Amino acid sequence: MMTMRYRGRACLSLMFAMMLGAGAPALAAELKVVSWGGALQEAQAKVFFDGFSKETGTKVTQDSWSGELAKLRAMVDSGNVVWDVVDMDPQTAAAACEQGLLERIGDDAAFKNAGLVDGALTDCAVGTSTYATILAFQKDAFPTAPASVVDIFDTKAFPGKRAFRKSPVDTLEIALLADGVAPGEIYKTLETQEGIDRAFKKLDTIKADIVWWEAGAQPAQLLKSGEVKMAVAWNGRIADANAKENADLGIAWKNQIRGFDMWVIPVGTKNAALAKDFVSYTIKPEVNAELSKFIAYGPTVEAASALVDKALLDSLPSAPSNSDGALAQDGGFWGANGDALNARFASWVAQ
Amino acid sequence: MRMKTAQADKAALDRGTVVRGCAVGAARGERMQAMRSALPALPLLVFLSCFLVLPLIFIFHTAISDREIADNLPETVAALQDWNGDGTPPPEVYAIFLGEIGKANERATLRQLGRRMGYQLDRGMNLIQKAGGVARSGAATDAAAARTALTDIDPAYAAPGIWTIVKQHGSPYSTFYLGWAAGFQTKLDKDGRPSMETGYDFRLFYLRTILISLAVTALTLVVGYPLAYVIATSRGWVGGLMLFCILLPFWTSLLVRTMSWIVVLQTNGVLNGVLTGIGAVTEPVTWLYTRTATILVMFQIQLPFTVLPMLGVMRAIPPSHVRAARSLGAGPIRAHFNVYFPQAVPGIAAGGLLTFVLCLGFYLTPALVGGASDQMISYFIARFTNEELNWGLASALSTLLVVGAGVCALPFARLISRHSSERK
Repeated sequence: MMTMRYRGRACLSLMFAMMLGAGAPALAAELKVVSWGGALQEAQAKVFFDGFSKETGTKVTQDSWSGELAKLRAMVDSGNVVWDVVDMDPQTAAAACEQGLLERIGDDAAFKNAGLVDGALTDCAVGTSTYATILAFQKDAFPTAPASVVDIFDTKAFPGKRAFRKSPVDTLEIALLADGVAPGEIYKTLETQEGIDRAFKKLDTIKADIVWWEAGAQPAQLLKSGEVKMAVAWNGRIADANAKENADLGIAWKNQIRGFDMWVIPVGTKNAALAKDFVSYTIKPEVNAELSKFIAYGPTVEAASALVDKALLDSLPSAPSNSDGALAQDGGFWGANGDALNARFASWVAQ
Repeated sequence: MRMKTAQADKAALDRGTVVRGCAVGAARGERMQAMRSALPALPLLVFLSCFLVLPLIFIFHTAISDREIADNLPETVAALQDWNGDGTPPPEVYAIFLGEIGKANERATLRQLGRRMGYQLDRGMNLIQKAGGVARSGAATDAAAARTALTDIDPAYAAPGIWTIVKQHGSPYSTFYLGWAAGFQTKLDKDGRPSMETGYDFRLFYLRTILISLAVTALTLVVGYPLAYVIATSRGWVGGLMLFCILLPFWTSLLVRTMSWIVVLQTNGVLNGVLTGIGAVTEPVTWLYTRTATILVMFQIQLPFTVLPMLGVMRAIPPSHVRAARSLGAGPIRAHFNVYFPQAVPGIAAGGLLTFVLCLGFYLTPALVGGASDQMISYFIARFTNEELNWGLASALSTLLVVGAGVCALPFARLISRHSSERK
């Protein structure tokens, strides 16, 4: 009877699994690492993937994603997990952890004793680099350059289209910051219904001027093609576009929102032990410090901070000159409220 | 058409024979005859039933299936039937619930149940996961302990919301997803009151789909009618050239055409280059990611679909009719609208209907050149199928779209068939 009942579902799951190309079992000593594509993944490949391959002889294969949990959810539900390690932001990691999608690796002694900075180790996730959400802009678009991330709401001084990430994360925080809420009060405010309404009301004031992006490489493209004049973006992507693609984009650091790139291990992967070895490798101080050479993201291990090239320090989110009004993203808040806020945000965007 | 009439005549003749003579044998003969004449259509019928009818039945079935609670919590549902919905159910229900959660956990169907609860209840997934943790710990041995364990781990278990939902959705089939797709379903909070969480406004999306489709249909009709008229009445190469121009887009894929529109419409694109070049505007105009762009590109794609049916009908209108009207003293406009236009109506209706129904299902074009608030219902069907993996809701949205398009199409289809039979 049970098989009859589940046949339809099983059929769909099978179709989906086939679409994901999950038919073949993973070979031994092969690790599938999933990250955010573009400049970040290129840097991670040079430092983490290649290094780990050389040291252990493991073949690291890559995939990329844009932070939508559905694919991972489908893998776990169909019992066919082909991702071994995934790079998540703290709030997605917290939500996925709460839904039982991730191995609870936070209690492992290896990670506890690694000397990670505050917030870089959670129940299911281990931070490997720090990034900042900043405001990037075309330098020649305005007579005076925007000074802070919240200037994206000032359509009088900075007219034109602007781009936001199609996600409530960071977007609601920036809206409240722009509405005059102090960085320390943001998450307290967002916990109340009035606070959420206030953030959406602020967003309503510029909704007609917003272009939404989904993949991390898009803001730099939109800015370069002239489609938008300013964009909320991840600092490393903009620095990379300036360095490699001759883009001339400015960065406003004030009121940056700081987050971690974190490794998580999906529940049910056949390579869990190898995956943990990989995560441990990336938080060795000398390896962890190396990433800053290839993308402007900082280390997460205390001991690695001293090893970072001094010349690079000023371009990192943690530089004192960049830290004015900085807000640390609260993964716990988003883990608990993410589903509800995502639903409201998605319906608001589509209206 | 004439073939069909001949067959109908023959069938009528046969029927006459049936009445007069030996009924049974003749009826069988007639059936054999009908089947034999339908034989060439067999591959099409097989194809249609495999790739249209069966998937449709499957989608309808998914839209009304609501199995998670019925499959995972059947005894809890049964035990809740005596509970009147006030306060919380008796402790025994908690024990039964916890037992069934434990079984669901072993079967690995707990996350499915949690997701189903989350569709209707605030933090539904979280609540079910927490209950799974309690069941795994095995601490709750009797009914009272089960109740305490659950209400301790989350106060929502001491509120009626979750129990009301379980009680009401114990049947494997329900209108839950259809109601959701039609905008009637509201999420509940732990007390069973409408939740503060706002979900998608599907009625708005259906309305938007219809309005965009109507706008595109109207545009193609206004532009297409004179065009079809000129092609149908012109002699020589002009008509042929225009027809060629209309057919040209058919030979390019939809994706390529839409992508080339992006090149034309983008801020530093061709259109803005021309406009600023001739001094019509000083600042580049934003075309891309707007409703205007969506309608413009859909109009270009749909124009041939509106023009071709009109053209077919218009070519069959004898020019002598208009000449006769003119010779009887009607002016050119009056002759056109009193004599020509009524005869062209079936073509206009067919072209307009074809475009309208095709527009209802547009996905790619709005996704590529439209903004976030220009997405039509297909976008949400794709989203719920591929990203949110909520196939029940995706199927319900598709069902409403198919039924809605069918309802729109029926009266028009009858109008067209009536006109074409009058013309015979």
